[in-house]
Amino acid sequence: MKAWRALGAEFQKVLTTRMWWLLAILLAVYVAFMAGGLGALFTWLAANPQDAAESGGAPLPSMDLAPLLYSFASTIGYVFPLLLGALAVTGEFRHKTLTPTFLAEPNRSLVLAAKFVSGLIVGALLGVIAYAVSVGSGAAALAGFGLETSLDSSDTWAVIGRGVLAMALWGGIGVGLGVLIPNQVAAVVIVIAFTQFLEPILRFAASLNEVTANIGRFLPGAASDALVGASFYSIASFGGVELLEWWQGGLVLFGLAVVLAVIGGATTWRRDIS
Amino acid sequence: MASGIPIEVSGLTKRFGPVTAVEQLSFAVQPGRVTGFLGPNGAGKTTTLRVLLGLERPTEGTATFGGTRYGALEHPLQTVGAALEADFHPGRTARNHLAVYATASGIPKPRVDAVLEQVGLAEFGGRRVGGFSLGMRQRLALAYTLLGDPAVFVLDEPINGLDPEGIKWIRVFLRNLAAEGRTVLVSSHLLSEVQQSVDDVVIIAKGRLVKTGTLSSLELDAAPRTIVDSPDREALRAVLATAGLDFTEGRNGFIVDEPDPGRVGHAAFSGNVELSSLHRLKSGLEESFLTLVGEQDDAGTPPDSAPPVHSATPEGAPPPDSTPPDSAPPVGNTPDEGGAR
Repeated sequence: MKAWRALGAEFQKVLTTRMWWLLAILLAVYVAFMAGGLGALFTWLAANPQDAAESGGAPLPSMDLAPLLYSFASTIGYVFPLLLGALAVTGEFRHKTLTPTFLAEPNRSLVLAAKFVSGLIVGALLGVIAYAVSVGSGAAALAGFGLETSLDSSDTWAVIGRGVLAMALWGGIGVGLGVLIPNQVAAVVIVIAFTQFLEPILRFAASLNEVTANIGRFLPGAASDALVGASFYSIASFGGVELLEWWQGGLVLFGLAVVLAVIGGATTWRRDIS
Repeated sequence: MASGIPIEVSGLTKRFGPVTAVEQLSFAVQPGRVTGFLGPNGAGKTTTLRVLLGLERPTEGTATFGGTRYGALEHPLQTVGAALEADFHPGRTARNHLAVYATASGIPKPRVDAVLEQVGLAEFGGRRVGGFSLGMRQRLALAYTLLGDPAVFVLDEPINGLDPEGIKWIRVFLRNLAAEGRTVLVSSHLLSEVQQSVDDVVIIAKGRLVKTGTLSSLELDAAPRTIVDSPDREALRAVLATAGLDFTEGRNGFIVDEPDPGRVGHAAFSGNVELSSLHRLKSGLEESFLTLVGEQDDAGTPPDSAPPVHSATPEGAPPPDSTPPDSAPPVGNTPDEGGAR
């Protein structure tokens, strides 16, 4: 009963400010641009191999384009649930709303657990939006060039389902990160720097050597791609690196989210609120 | 509403590293009365309230609501309504702000509009709090306290930032809560701000209790003095000095350390000095208050009876702004006050 109320309140907190739909719109535009735009380019390359070869384009690996395009939603979109989760926690510190929050529910662990679960749910919501856009624009690009959209294949839907799950887990990781690093500016900088620069560089560097490649598979972005099971990155530059099994990738993400939240919950979350 | 829940603070100590914010503080707040929790800024009022509300952990001692710690209350918002520093998410509307915490506490939704109405914010419920004035934020903070119809109210500086109409309104509001049998604890750094609303006072300074009792018990023995003025102040100054009276100069005349205006009048008469005013300056509550919270290591010399100045005071001891009967003469007793607002 109490847990339901706490979850309801956390959910309400996210939905009663503008941040979630601002991020949702940005995410949709970004994904539409990437899945639709790059989708059109790839499908053109795939549909006209001769022209592509003449213009110096690299021949694409012969693989099903559809899941690749659809998975853009989480491959590039995972930063959005991550940000939203982090902002949901750091916003409470920044605006000092932890005071009314803890007055209404003094059990801080319960509040954090509710935040974590609401982070998962809101992440899944962003995932549904992102996949709706990527499937819509990607399928339009494929159909436009008369290619297979694969929407009748259960494998495709499995990719979409695991993609939504990945987005949900990123929401939880965001909450964990936010509670570990309550300074909003610091948290946002870390999210952007890690996802946009550090992790891609690390993944590339790790892929150069077999030993580090095995470690690199456990990087959160790589684990996320493994969970989804299709990724632009896997053909772009890391083709040689074997990803984890999808369920292993999911466990890595879930474990990361829980570890961050537990450490944060035992430190910053316990402090005096002043 | 559960009723008759006292606030009990016992042996409370709170240290922040080497700094002791509150030391061995004990007091009780009774239901059906408005209690003023008073002390200068930095005296430890907010720290005490935050410990009481479970937001900070005490170093020693306890603070309870009828024996139950805040964190152990079965229904916190339905038992205690607390307004601390008025902080809100600026992007959330007033109604949604309240709705979030109503959800968390299992308080039915219609209550949100009822409390907005009660604090006079009914028409602003759909507006984002970021655009609210300080006074409106204070009212919204009060609306939050009312959500659960609690038996106990804990309000930290609720009058801060209110306009005169708002101040009048909150006085009636506090009186009504107490009349309904609720326990009301209101903190302030200015006695004058709350003296029309409180029945009891708990006064702290530097983290320690200095006084607890009824408001009237505050009218202590801060010696009454005489205020006197003349069209010819220099002549009056000379006469008073000749008569051996200690005095300070204020804007409306000299404040003489002499309870009997007759003696002052006699001195002027003997010196042939015309007087334009002569009356007794009753020691005010505020004065007693300032004496209590003044520098305590200055044993025996409360700061407002500081060394009388015999010479003119161009920019020496700051003269009182005015000298109506209740005014406290020299300010500057509360160094960290930073100007009352």
